[in-house]
Amino acid sequence: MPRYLVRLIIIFVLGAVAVLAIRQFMVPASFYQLGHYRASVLPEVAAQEPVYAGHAACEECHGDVLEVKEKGRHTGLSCEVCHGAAATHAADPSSTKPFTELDRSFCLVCHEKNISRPAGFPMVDGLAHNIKEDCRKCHKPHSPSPNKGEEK
Amino acid sequence: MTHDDTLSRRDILKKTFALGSGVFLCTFAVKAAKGESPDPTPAPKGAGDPTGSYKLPNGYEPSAHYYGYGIDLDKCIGCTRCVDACKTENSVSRTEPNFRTWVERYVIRDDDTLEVCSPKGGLDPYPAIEDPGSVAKSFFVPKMCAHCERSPCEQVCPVGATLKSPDGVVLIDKKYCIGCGYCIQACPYGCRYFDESTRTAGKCTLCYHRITRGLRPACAEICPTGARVFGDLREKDGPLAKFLREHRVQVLKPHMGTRPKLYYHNLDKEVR
Amino acid sequence: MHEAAYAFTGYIYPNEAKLLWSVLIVLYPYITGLVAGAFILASLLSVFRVKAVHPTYRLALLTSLSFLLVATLPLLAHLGHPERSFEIFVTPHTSSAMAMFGFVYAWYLMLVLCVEIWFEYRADMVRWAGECKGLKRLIYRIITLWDDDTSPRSVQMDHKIAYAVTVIGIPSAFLLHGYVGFIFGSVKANPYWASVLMPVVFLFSAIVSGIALVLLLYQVTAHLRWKKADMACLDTVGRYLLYALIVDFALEGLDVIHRIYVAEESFDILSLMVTGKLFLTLVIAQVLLGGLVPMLALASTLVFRIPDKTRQWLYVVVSLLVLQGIFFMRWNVVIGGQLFSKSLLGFTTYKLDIAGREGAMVALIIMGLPFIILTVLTWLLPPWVDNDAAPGDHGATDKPEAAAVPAQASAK
Repeated sequence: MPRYLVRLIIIFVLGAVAVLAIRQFMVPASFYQLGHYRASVLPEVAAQEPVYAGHAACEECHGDVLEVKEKGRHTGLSCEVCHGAAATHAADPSSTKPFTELDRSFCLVCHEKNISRPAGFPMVDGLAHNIKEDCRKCHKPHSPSPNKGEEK
Repeated sequence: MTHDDTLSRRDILKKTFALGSGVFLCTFAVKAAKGESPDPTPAPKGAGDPTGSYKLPNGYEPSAHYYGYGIDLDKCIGCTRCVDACKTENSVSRTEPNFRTWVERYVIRDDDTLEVCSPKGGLDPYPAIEDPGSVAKSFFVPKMCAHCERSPCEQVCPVGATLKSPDGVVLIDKKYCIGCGYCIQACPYGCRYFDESTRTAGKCTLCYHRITRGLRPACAEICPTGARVFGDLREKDGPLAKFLREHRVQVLKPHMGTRPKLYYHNLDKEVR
Repeated sequence: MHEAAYAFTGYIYPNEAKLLWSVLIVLYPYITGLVAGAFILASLLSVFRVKAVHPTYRLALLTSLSFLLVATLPLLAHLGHPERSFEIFVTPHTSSAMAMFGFVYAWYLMLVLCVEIWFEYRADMVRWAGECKGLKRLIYRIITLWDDDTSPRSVQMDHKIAYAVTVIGIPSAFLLHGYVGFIFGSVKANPYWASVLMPVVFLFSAIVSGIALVLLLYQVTAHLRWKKADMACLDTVGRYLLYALIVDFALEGLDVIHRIYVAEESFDILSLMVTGKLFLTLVIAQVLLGGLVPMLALASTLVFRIPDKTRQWLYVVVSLLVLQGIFFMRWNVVIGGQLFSKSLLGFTTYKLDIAGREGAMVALIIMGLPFIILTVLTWLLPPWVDNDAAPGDHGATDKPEAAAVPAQASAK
């Protein structure tokens, strides 16, 4: 075999060996542990801090409110639907207070009359229904009743 | 050029080769010393559960769960609190077209014309419906990643930066993603986006940080009507199992063969 | 608010507002196609020993190499994290069509193209190393691995190996570009891309573009060197271009007819797109100017007696038309495939920026690079074969500086 051919083959073999050697160092440690990915991505993603505390966290301190809520039409709702994300409050109650001043426009986010909404859902025409009044004057947010205060 | 020259050069080459192989073998030795197998291969499927012993630092065991999601369209009122909650919970951009979930409004007229909209995913108010008298039906459809059993996005990722976790959640490794965008093209449901802040793909994680802590995903937590049902398919008396038992459900684009785990009750034929 | 920043009509999924794969991803299959096409032209003619086109053989190989060296650039420029691109080689995901790119590319570049060119040129390089001085001599020395073996036996062996590599190279080139078509054809989520014909269509359009490029470059380089292009060679390459065009056109026609006939749920939105947003780039640029006109022009050279000068001009115009047609074919696939929503209810738009990371300037620079590389390569490895040179002496060069070298060498 001519010398140049031998040299060419050696170069290719060396190149292949180098590539394989480098690859050994480049594969991340937890790769292939669970599948074709870095297994450490699971704890990494899971490490993100929740912003919404979840219903159970509210229950710990606010059992009195929940007792009222359980009896009304808003029973299935999480507190954070109306009061906003409260993880910081749940972690340290004195740090921040969830907002409680909810006005008419907020109630109408869900209860404004809308033909795209399922029939039977309690809705009002925001422009006709006691337009100047605060909803809370007639409806208790923690135990609302659709018929109370309806004049039609 | 003399013959001796060549020989000595050949010697050098031989030595270089020996050195190269030495380095190569050393890497195996180093790996072995670190307690890693030099050429690890994933355990064969079906041979027990290879992921069984894997636990997160908080003791959560991924392989003990398999998550799915149900949406009862009879209950969705289009309040789009879920879209807002998702952005808040996961710090998703509110200016870029990046949506992990969004809510579409369908309007079907008497003459079968179809109008679909989702202004800013539902964060902006839906435009008023013109000529309501001619509307045959109208409804809302929340959309999100279906965490498909045969996820095409995971299939096409060239490097293994998109993965299906043992608990059935399709996640992105943002430290490993090269940002090629192939997964975004491969998703039939438009549930992936390019995140400019990380320059990688972005998508719904099913709030993996919440569900591994025993919480519900933010969208399910915040849904006021109970239209969104999150649950573990392995939990036979859990909320999702109950939802699936009590409702007839359908998935989006079943012909794609992706086996989505996002189950809709009362899905209209016009919804894609 | 993204509705203001991104224009769209009808309904699109909110994440689709921004079109993801830009003009750079158009360039990728275009450049890879030119690589595969030029190589297939060179190899087929070499394997089937078509003597008439010999003047283009080495030029086609060098063209193929020049374009292959930049083929990865548009991809790298488009990646969100180009610095992580090595992961494709380190942990390739075997189920991903894209992950195989690293291997197909490395195989084709290292084991096919470079090896073939090396064996094709080795004996000449050894000779040039003796004739040249300074840097050029050093380069030849390094490339020939410090071995000046030009014995008839080894030269004959070179030819045999080059031939074997060519035979392996043809399926490799088919693989390289068929695979690029598969990247698109396998995306089942996209009804415009998902087609079993996609790899085949990509392959034949690649052959068409490669032949057109070599046809053009051969004439341009001949002109720049004040040489007469070999008309027999031009006619033969032109004829192959016509055959390739016919096959390509038939395949794409079959795809269209199939889509119209089966009329799946995506048909309405796709036909709206083709006759609307893509009318200019698809119907006019790709089909009419890039397909029908060149085919008629080439066919006319077979039917009518056209004077050499006119025919030569005709080949130049046809090559340019075909090259733009194939560019727009890639454009229509890549951009067109993202213009419509996967909800099949609306369209987004694509605006090509001038500046910027994925703008027209970057695209033009990337398209210019192969020609610079080709210039350097032709300086180092002259591919010219001229009528006045003795047949078979295909290493002969007429470059003034190179011509002066033998005199110096003999004086020494």
